[in-house]
Amino acid sequence: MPLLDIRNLSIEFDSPHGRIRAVDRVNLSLNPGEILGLVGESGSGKSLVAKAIMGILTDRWTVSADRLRYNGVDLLALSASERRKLMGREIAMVFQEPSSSLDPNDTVGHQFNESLPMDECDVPFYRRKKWRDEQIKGLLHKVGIRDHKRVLKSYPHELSEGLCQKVLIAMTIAYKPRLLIADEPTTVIEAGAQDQIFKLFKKLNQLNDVSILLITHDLEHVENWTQTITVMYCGQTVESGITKDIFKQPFHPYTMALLQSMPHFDEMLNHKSQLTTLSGCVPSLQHLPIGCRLGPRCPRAHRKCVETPVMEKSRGHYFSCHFPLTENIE
Amino acid sequence: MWFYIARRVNLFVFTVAVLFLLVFVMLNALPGELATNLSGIQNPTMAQYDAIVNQYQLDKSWFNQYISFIKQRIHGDFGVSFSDAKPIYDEMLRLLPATIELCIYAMTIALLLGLPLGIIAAVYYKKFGDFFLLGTSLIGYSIPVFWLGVIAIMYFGLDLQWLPVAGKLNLLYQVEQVTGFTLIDIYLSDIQYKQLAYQDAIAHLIMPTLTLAVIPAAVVIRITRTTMLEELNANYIKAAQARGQHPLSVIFHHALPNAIQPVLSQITLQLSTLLTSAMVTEVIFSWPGIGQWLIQATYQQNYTIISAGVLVCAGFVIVVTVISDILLIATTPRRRSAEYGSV
Ligand SMILES: Nc1ncnc2c1ncn2[C@@H]1O[C@H](COP(=O)(O)OP(=O)(O)OP(=O)(O)O)[C@@H](O)[C@H]1O
Ligand code: SF4
Ligand SMILES: [Mg+2]
Repeated sequence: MPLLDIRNLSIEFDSPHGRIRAVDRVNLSLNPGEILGLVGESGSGKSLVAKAIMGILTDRWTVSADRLRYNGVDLLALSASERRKLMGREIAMVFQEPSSSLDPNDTVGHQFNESLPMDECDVPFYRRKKWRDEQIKGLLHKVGIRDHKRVLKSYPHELSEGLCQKVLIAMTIAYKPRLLIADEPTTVIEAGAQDQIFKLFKKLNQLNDVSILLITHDLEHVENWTQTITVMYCGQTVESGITKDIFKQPFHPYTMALLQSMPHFDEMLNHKSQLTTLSGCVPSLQHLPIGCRLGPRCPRAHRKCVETPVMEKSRGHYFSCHFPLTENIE
Repeated sequence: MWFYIARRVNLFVFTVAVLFLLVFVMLNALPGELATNLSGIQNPTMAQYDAIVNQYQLDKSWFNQYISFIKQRIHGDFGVSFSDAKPIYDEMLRLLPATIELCIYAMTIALLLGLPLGIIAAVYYKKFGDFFLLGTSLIGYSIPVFWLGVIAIMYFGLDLQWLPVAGKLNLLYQVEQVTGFTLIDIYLSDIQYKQLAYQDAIAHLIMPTLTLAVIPAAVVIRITRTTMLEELNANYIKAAQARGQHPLSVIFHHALPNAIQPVLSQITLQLSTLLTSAMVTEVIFSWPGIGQWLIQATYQQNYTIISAGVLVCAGFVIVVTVISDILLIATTPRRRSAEYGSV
C-alpha cells in the first residue's frame, strides 16, 4: 500500500472570472521508503499540492479528491485536532520561502524550542533546558550550521535565506517524520551545501526509513536523488514513473522539453527526436486552454488534443498524452 | 535606529513649528488688535501696551514676532482669558488632567474590549461570530456620540436614576486637586469617607467613559481584525500550523505579537478623533475638562483660549504620535535594523 496516495486531486478557487482550477485531477503515489520527485515549471501547482496535503490552504481554496490518503487515513476527513497529531510528527514540510516561514518577531532559538518533540524527552524537568540545547545543537550541525549560538540568538531578518532554510530543515526533522515534503529545499542554499542537504535526506531515507516528496525544478537533483518522479504541467500530471526510465525514454512531449533544457542531456539521449524547447510560455490561470493544457505549445498537437487525454499506463510508466513520443505520427 | 529616532525628532520639531505658525497667522487674521489677541488683555493701558509690544516684539518684523510668540508659549505664558482675565496656563493645568483621565479610561476600555473581540472576529473569519462582531462594530462606529450620551443620560440618569448625570464628583466630598485625576486625588486626600468618595467618583465616570469608549472600541475591533487576518494568512503561521502547533499557541505566540504593533500604531492615529469626541462628551456630561472649556470659549469668541486649546490639543496628539512611533521601532526587531531607519 502506498504511504501517500492521491487520486484526482483538484484545487480550485473562485475568482471574479469564475471558478478556476489551479490543480486539475493530479495523481501521485508515494511508496514507503521512496524518494519521489515532483517537477514542473514555476506556477504548475506543486506547492499547492504540497499545501493541500498538509491541509494549510486558506479558506478561499476548495480541495477535492477521489482519494487523499496518508497511510490509509483520509486526510480530507480529519478533524482539526486529529490533523494536528499527524502534522509535524508524521508528515512534515519544508517550505519554499524560508525567511517568511519564520516568525519575524521571535528569535530563531525560541521558535526552534517550540518545535522540539517534548514527549520524547525523558529527563527530569531541571535538566530539560540542557536536553533541548543539545538536541537543537545536534540538529543544526546535521544541516551544516556550525555557529549555532549566533543563529539561535538571531531574528530571522538577520539571517540569510539559505541559513533560514537550513534552520527550517533542522526544525522539520526534529520530530523524525515518516513523510517529509520538501518544497524546493535547496534553491536558496549555496551550491556546496546543497549536496550536504541531499545527503542528509538520503541518510534519513535509508536509516530512518523516511519517505520524501521532493519538489523541485532542478532536474539534476531529481536524477541524482530520486527513485520515481511525477511531472506536472499547468496543474495537471503529465507523466510519472521510475526516474531512470523516464530519463531514458520520456513519453510526454512536455517531459522531453524539460529534459532537453538540462545541460548535457543531448549526450545521454539515444533517441533521434528533434524536439527543441517549447515555444510560448505557461498560460495564466485565467486563460487555460481546454483539453490538454500543453496544446498551444506542443509540437505534436493534433485536433484530438482538445479533449483532455486520460492517464495511460505502459510498462509501469504513466502518461497523459494522445500522441506519446514512442508512437510515430505522420 | 538612532538615526530613525533623530529623524522622528526632527519631524516633530518641524511639525510643531508649523503648528505655531498656523496659530500665529490665525491670531493675526482674527478681528481686533494683535496685541489683545496675543495677550488677552482687553483695552490695555499705555504701560500694558508697551509691555506687550516689548514681550512679543510687535515693533519688529513678523518673523521676530513669530519667534517670540513661540518663546512665550513654550515658557508657559499663554496670555489671559478675554472674559475673566485669568491666566490661561493655570486654567489649562487644572482642566487638562480631567480630559486626559477620561480619554485614558475610555481608551483602556476600548482596548480591553476591542482587542479580544477583534481577534475572535479574525479567527472566525466569515463565520457567524465574525459577521456579528463586524455588524456590531459598524453600529457602534456610526452612532453619534452626542446622541448616545443624551440617551444614556435620559435612561440611566433620569428614568432609572442609577447614575449621576453631570460633573466629576459630588460637592460633598472636598477633595483637593493635586494631580487632577479624581481617583488619584481621592487617594492622596485625607477626607473621612474615602470609600464613599471612590464610589461616587466611579459612578460619575461610568457614563462619560462608556459613551466615549464606543467609537474607539469599534475602531479597535476593525483594525485588530484586519491586521490579525493578514498575520493569520502569513507563511510563518502556515509553517507553525504545519509543525502541528496548537492553534492557541499559534494565535497568541505568533500571530498576536506580530499584529499588536501595527494595531497600536494605527490606534494612535485615532487619537485626534478621540479628543474631538471627548470634547463633545464633556459638554454633554458637564465634565470639567478642557473640551467643555474650549467650546464655551468658542461661543464667547475668546481668542486666547481658543489658540491655547489648539496648540495644546494638537501638541498633545503630535507628542503621543512621535513617542508611540519610537516605541514601535524599539519593540519590532525587524524595524530596529538599520535599513528601516532610512524609510
Ligand atoms: N494565493 C494565491 N492566489 C492566487 N493564485 C495563486 C495563489 N497561490 C498560488 N496561486 C497560483 O496557483 C498556481 C500554482 O502555484 P504554486 O505556488 O503551487 O506553483 P509552484 O509550482 O509551486 O511554482 P514555483 O516553482 O514557483 O514554486 C500559480 O499559477 C499561481 O499563480
Ligand atoms: S495530448 Fe496532444 S497537446 Fe497534449 S501533450 Fe500530447 S500531443 Fe501534445
Ligand atoms: Mg512552489
